[in-house]
Amino acid sequence: MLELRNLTVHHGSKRVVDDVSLTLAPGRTLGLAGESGSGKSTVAMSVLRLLPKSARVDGQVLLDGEDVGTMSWGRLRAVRWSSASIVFQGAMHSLNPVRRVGDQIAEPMRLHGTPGSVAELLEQVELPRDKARAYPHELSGGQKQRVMIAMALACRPRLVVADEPTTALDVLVQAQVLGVLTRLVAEQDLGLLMISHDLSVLASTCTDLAVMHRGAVVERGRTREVIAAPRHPHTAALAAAFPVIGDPAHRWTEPSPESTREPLLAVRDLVVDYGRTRAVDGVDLEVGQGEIVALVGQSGSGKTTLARTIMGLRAPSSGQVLFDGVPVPAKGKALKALRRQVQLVLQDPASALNPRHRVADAVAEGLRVHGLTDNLDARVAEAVERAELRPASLYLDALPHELSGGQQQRVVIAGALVLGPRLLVADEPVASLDASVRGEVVALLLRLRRELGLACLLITHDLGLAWQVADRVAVMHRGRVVEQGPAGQVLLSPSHDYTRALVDAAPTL
Amino acid sequence: MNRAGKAGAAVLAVAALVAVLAPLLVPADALDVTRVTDAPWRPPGAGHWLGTDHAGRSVALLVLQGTGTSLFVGLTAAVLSVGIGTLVGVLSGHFGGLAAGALLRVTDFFLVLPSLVLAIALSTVLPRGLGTIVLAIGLTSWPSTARMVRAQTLTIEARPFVERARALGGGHTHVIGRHVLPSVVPLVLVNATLAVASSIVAESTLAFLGLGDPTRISWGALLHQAQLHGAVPQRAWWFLLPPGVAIVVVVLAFTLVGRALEAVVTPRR
Repeated sequence: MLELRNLTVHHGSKRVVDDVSLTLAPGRTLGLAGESGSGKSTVAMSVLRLLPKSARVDGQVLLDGEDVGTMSWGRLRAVRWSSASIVFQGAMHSLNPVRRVGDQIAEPMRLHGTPGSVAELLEQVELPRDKARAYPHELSGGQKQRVMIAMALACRPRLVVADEPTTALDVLVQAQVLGVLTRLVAEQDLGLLMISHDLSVLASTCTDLAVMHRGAVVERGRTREVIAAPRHPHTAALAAAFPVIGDPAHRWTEPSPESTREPLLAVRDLVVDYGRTRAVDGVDLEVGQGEIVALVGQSGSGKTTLARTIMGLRAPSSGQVLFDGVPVPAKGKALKALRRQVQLVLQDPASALNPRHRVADAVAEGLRVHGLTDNLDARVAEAVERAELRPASLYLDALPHELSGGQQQRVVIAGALVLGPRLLVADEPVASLDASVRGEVVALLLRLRRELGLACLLITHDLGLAWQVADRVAVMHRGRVVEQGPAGQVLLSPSHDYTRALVDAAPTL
Repeated sequence: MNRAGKAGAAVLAVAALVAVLAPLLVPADALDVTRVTDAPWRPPGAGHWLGTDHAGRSVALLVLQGTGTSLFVGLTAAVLSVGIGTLVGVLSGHFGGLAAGALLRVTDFFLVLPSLVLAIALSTVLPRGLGTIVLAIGLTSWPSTARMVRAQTLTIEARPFVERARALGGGHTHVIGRHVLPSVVPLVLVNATLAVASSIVAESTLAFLGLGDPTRISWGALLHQAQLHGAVPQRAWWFLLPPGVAIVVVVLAFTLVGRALEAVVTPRR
C-alpha cells in the first residue's frame, strides 16, 4: 500500500533522509524509531508531500502504486486525507483553539464530500458524542489526541501516519491512546505508520519496526526480533535506554547502606494551595543522606509544586519542610545559605541555561551569587569535569546552543555541583534527552551519589527511571502520596490501586 | 543590517558631523541680526544657496546651526524617556504585586494623556530653556517603552533559567542584573533609536509653537520664525522648506536605523 523507494531528502546541502526504502501492507503496523534529528518526521511528511518547497526530494513515494512526487496538484489534494492521513505531533498545537472540535473533525469530510457522522467518529476513538461541541481548551491532552485521531479517520483513509502520537502524554493516557490506535487498525484494516523516539511505545503497537539513525534506516524487521536481538549498536542503545521494571540487569543503583537512614530532608504534613486549588495535600516524605528517592505521578499530581516548595521557591500553606532537622527558612540570608545545600536540576536543559551565558559563566553563577569568587576558574573547571565534560577547557567558552541536549544537562548539573550541595532535586532530568544520552546522565547521577554522597529527590513520571536508580519510591496522586516504600516493593508488588494502574500502563519492550 | 539601515546610518553620520563642526562652518557674525548686511527675503542664488530670511541672514547657515540643537534635544530626551521607561518596566515586571500595580496605573495615566498637550502644558509652566524642552518630551513619552520592557521582563522571568538562578540563591539584583537587563537591552536600544526620531519631531513641534528656547536656533524654531515673520505671504518657500526637509530626513534616518536594528535583535524564527 505504501512503498518508499530510495527516498532521499536534502535541506539545502544537508542530507536529512538518506536512501530510505520501506514497505507497508494494509492491516500492518510499521514503527519508525529514531532520535531527534534522525529524519523520521521528514519521512512522514514526504508521504503526503508536505515538505517545504526548499526541500529536495529524490526517489519515489508510492501510495497504492501511484507516485506521490509526480501527482498533479488536484490529484494530490484528493489523495491527501482520503487515502492517507496524518496524526500530527503535539495535539495541543494542531487544533484550532477558536473552533469546536466537531467542526474541525468535519472539515476534511466537507472538503472531500465524504459522508459520515462526527458522532460515530468520536465513538470510535472512545469519546462521548457531546464532546463535539467542546473547544480544544476544554479537553485534556489525551482527549485532544483522540480528536486528532478521529480527524485522521474522517475520510476513511487506508493509511494513517502517526507522528509521535503520545509524546507529552502521561503513561495512563498514553496506554489509552495506543489502545485506540491498535483497535482501529485491527477493525478497519488500516495501515499504520507510527513514528516515535520511544521504542517501548512502538513495541507495544507495531508488528514491524525500522530504526533510523542520521537519516538512514539502520535496521528493520519484525518488532519482536529486532528488540530481542538488535544487530545494529544504535538499536541496542535505544533498547537499553528503556529499562524493564523488575529486570535486575536494569537496576543500576547499589543498595544504600542502612546506617545513613537519618533523614536529610523531611517533609511533614505539607499543604500548598494555588488560589482555591490544593496542589499538595498533606504530604509526608523523607530523603536520607545519600539516598535516591523517586517521586512518581502523572502531570498535575502536584509533584513539581512539592519540589518547588522543598526548594523554598514557594511558600507552603501549612506544614513543614525540615532540612537537616531545621525548618526551611522563608527568606533572607538563611534561605540563601540553604540554597548552597539543596540544588535544582530542571527538565529542559536548553531553557534552564541563559542562552547568552557561556558555560563557564553558567557554572560560576552560583559561586558568584554566594560570593565564593576565590579560585573561581579552578572550581568551575573541576565541577565541569565532575559532570563528565572532559576536558573542561573544550567546553568552558561554549554557548548553550553549541552543545547537545545531554551536554547542556551536564552543564546544569555542574552548575549545581559547584556549590557542593548535599541534596539534588531533579525534576524530570532525562525526560527531554535522547535515548542514547539518557543512560549516560542517569549513570552520572548515580556516580555522583557514590562519590560525593549526594542525596537526590528525583521527580519523574517514568517508572522505568525510578526502577533504574531509586532506593525508595513515593507515588503521588492528586496532591497526596498514596504509597511509598523501597523501589522493589512499590514497583513490583504495588499495594495501592493507582500505583498498580501506573505500573500496568507502563509500556514494555 | 539592510541597505536602508546603512543609508540611514550614513545620513546620521553626516548630520552628527555637521552638528559638531557647525561653529567652524558658520562665521559668528553671519547669524547676528545687527551685523548682517544682506537684504532680507532674497531667493536662493549666488552667495546665498538657500536665500535669506526676514533679517537678511543666510537660511543655509541657519539650518546648519540648527542641526546641533535638534539632535541634542532629540538624543537627550530619548535617553531620558527610555531610561524612565526601562526602569518602570523592569521594576513592575520583576516585582509584581501592589507596587507594580501602582506603577502600571501611573503608566496607563501617562499613556492615555495626549503627550503633546502634556508637553505643551509642562513647557509653559516651567522656565523657558533647552532643559525644559528635554524634560517635557522625556517625561511624556516613556510609557510605551515601559509597557514593552515590562512585557519582555515578564517573558524572561518565566524562563526556567531564572528559576535556576533563584534556586542557586540569586536575589533580585542578581536576577535583574544578570538575566533580565542583558536580554532587555537590545530591545531598549532599538526603542531608543526610534524614540530619538519622535523626540526630534516633538521638539520641532514645541519650538514651532513658540515654546522652545528663544536663544537657540533649532529647525522647529526656524519654522516658528518663518511663520511669525510672514514667510508665507512673502512666498519665501526657501525659508520654510529647508528646515522642514532637514527634520524629515533626519527623522527618517533614525527610523530606518531603528527598524534595521530591530530586525537584527529580533531574529525571525
